[in-house]
Amino acid sequence: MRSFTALLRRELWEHTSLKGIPLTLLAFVLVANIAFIFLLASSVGTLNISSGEEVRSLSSYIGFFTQLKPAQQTAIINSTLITTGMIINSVLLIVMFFYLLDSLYGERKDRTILFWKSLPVSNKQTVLSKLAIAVIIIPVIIFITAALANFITLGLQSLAFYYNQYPVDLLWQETDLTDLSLFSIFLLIQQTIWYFPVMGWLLFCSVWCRKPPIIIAVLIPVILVFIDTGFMLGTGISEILLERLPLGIMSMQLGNESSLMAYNYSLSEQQLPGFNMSAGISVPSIDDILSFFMNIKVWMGLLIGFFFTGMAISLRRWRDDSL
Amino acid sequence: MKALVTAKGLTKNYGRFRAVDKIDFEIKPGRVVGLVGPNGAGKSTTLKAILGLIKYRGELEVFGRNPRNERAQLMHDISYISDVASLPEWIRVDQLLDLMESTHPSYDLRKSLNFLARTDINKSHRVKHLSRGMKTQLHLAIVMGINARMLVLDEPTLGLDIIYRTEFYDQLMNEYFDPQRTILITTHQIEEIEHILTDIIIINKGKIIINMPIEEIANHYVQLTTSKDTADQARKLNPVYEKDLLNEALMIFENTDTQRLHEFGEVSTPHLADLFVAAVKGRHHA
Repeated sequence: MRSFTALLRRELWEHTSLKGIPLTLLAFVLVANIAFIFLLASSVGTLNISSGEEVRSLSSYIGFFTQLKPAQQTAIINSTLITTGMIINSVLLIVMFFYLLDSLYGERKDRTILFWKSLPVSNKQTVLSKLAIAVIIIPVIIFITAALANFITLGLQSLAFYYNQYPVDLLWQETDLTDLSLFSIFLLIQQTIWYFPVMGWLLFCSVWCRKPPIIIAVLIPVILVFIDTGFMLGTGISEILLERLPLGIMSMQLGNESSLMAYNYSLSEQQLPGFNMSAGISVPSIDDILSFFMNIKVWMGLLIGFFFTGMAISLRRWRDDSL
Repeated sequence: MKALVTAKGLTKNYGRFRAVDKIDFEIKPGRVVGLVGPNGAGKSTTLKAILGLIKYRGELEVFGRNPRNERAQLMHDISYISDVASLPEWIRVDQLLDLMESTHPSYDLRKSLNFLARTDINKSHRVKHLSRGMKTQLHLAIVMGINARMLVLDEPTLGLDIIYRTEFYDQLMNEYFDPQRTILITTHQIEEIEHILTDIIIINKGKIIINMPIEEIANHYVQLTTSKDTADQARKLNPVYEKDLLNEALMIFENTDTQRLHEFGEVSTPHLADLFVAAVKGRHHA
């Protein structure tokens, strides 16, 4: 266990983007919020809300907000926080994609594999440590980054309320951080399980390919889809691949109703089985969780993910510094 | 004494190219063994097989284990340095030491720190900011901390200047080696290690052509330095190697009558460098 945690530390030391990009995203959230507040405060622009009413200043915007029903206020707050979280999620999923692709190819490219293999650490431990970064560490980073982004957003908006002499409590009363956190955790677990076969595939390509693995990792699924749809074979492989390949926010369709006034958050049941929420966020029920885990696609995905991971472990045994 | 490494019919093919061709050898404890050969002779392939890094055919046993299946366990007993380029460039010295301490059960951090204290290497340095010589020192510092029974060095001084090369081997012998430890070194620069070797294995084109303890070389090989006038007569005794010097000829004979050679000039034990060239080039007139 001690060596496994050391391997996780080593991944975080090497892949500084796992720290750098979340910090950059937080800086962006900070700057974007400040810019948004200053933009409204200086009355440079106007904001049309779906009611048709025009808000000309920060003060009138906050005033308008305070007049809404509590459920509408919650919907607006959730919409802002979830959209920020989704953007963070999507960016870090792209980071994870490149991390996994490089994780076992990079060590051969720079010949450090000779050093890593001189340690009394098995191939299984090495490959699983890289998988653990994708399955555990990156989702935790996404959660923490999104939570900090939420605090930055709410903190700055509280300041805006305060300077415009509106009660700050109003903002926090209608913010359900506990539900939002549970919702995010469930979403992250589902997402990780749903993309597990993709993670296994990327790890496998990383250890298998003798050329930059991105080419093979993308090309093979594209060719399979092309053959299946081009020749109308109807094997169903196109559907299986396409529903797993889109990353992050792209796979989660925000409903048309998700306006600022009537926030309605929904996810396509075809994309994430067992996840069908509307009229705001809600903590997943036992039924939601059961429905997700009862889906055969989930188990098939896990099986495929473990298969590719096993192949990656097996192949790394015979990898040396030659590409 | 039981051998630490035993190879029988060890063979490795890369496609159609046979890198190692049915070689047999043993490495016994407490020895400093040089596995030498020209570039592409099969040295590194043999080492990689011993370290469980590649597939091979034939029998190979290292510390009683099969390296193909038990690499991680073997690395408890073996310390391995390939050339310095294999150290990760992004890592800091303190991170590297932390990693060694966390992954190696028998690692003694104090020994590494004691060694590093005598160098210009700072714990906050990143490997990419170290010179090649410093990287070698860092690698050596790590080796000092590992309580391994066998140290495997693959061209460890490649690209280093003569000062660092000499210092590397001096420190290795003075501070690391003891009779309980075994060192296996591959190099194609035999002259820089010949003074520390107890055994030599010369490999060429995948085959072992000489494999013996250094003290036995004198029993099998003899070097004759003779004048040009008597060279023709000496040549009739079938030297395995011949080299023209300024006014003389140098010949190496294998299993020959040494008494007869005294008639033609000065007889001595060949230097390993000359023996290496003789073994690799065969019956050659340089």
